[in-house]
Amino acid sequence: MEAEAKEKEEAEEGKPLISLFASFQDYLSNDQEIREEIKTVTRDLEKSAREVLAVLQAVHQSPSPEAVKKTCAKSRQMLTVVKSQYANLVEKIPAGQYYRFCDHWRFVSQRFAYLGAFIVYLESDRLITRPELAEMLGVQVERSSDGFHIDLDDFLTGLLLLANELSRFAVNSVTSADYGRPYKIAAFVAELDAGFRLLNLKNDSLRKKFDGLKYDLKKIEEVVYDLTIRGLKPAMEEAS
Amino acid sequence: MAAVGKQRRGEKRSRKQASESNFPKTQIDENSPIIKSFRKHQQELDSRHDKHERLVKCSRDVTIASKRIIFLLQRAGGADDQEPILKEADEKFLEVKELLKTIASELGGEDSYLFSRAYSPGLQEYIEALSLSHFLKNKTLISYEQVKATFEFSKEGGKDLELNPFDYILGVADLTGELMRLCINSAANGDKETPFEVCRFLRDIHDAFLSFGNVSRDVSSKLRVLKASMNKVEVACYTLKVRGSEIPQFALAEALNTDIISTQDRDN
Repeated sequence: MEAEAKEKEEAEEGKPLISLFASFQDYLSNDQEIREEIKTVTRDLEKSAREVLAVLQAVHQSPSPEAVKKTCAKSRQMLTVVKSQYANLVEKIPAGQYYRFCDHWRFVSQRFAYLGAFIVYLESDRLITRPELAEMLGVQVERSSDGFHIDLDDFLTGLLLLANELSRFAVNSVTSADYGRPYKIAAFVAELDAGFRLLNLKNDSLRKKFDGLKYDLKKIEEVVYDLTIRGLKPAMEEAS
Repeated sequence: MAAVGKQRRGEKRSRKQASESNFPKTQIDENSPIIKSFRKHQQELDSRHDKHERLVKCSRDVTIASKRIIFLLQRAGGADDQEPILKEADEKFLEVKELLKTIASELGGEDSYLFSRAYSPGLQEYIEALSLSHFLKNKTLISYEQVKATFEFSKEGGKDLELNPFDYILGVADLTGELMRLCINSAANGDKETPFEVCRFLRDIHDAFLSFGNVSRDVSSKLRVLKASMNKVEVACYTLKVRGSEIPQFALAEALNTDIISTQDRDN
């Protein structure tokens, strides 16, 4: 051992740069370690997201108000686990370095933004707010409060995923003879579209997702059109 | 003719716009909660994009200024008197420092990693220039701490700029390309010492880089370039050693260049 150490010392003497880079070496292994830990925690989050999604898919099968209510209650129940999982993740991230590692949980955060928005929409026909989502996941609302938050880009991406899901939901509502819902969804997504058009998006992934929104809107409008020309529009909707 | 065509195109466009404006516009209800929240999102996104743009611009300026310093320093290679050139470079570094200060103040209170893509290229170029000047002065590699020390503006009332170790490493990797040029230039100028010095130094950096292993794609690709640079320098040193004594001074540059071209061909 001693001889080895001596040899190493000699080698380092001959190569002064290696010792200069030693701290960088430490930095690298440390970085790798943190990433590994984050990966394990996000895996749990991804699993929960998949489970909640699977439960929520039931609304396509039975879009009756009672069934939807039950499904939402069940998914909300399941989301309570997520809070502790996010708390685990927060522990792993060094202070103020959210964006250094954010690629690891970007996808899953988008998923949760979408799931939260879907639940809130099913429950009360309105758009989720950022504070609501933060409350649901047990994270901070804004970056400025210095903690783990859902990035605005990810939140908006989640809303676009919601629009996509709603276009499917509109079709399935009609199949189960719920003719009122597509009208509501159409108004909601149209407003969402108007909201998104207020944003000045850069040419990034969010923008690409946004470009798909018009197709969702078109699909929903077609459903509304089909219902209208067949006189299937419920009387209640006409009055409003 | 061209002018007429242009005008016509212009007319067409204006007519098209007019017809578009005849469409009934969907009324945006400013009071709906969705629109209200999106107005807020709009502000947040815009301010973030603006900051990003400002940082990119600053970074571009740092890059340009640093490149100029590097060109200046290259003139020092093989020059009889390096002092005035190094001094001039030091003066130019002060200008770059002002720009870095601006970047630091833009980043104040932000998560610097969010904008790292905007300003990293500039920082790397700056580190390249700084390490080159350090090498010319001391014949050693500038350390991470030394670079970091130049980013401290808190004494002057500014904010410190965080130095990402990756930026340092990538900047050093870029330095090797400049060293290769320095080696060839000085050899062509008949300098018998600098090429070998540079060669030794490059090997040291290369060895240190090898110890990192496969950490990031950036580092690995730089390592490839580094190897190529080292190869060229080694071949140049070889040529100097073998033929240096035989070749007349004026033909030496040409001999070196042909060697380098042949290694380049092989690399490609």
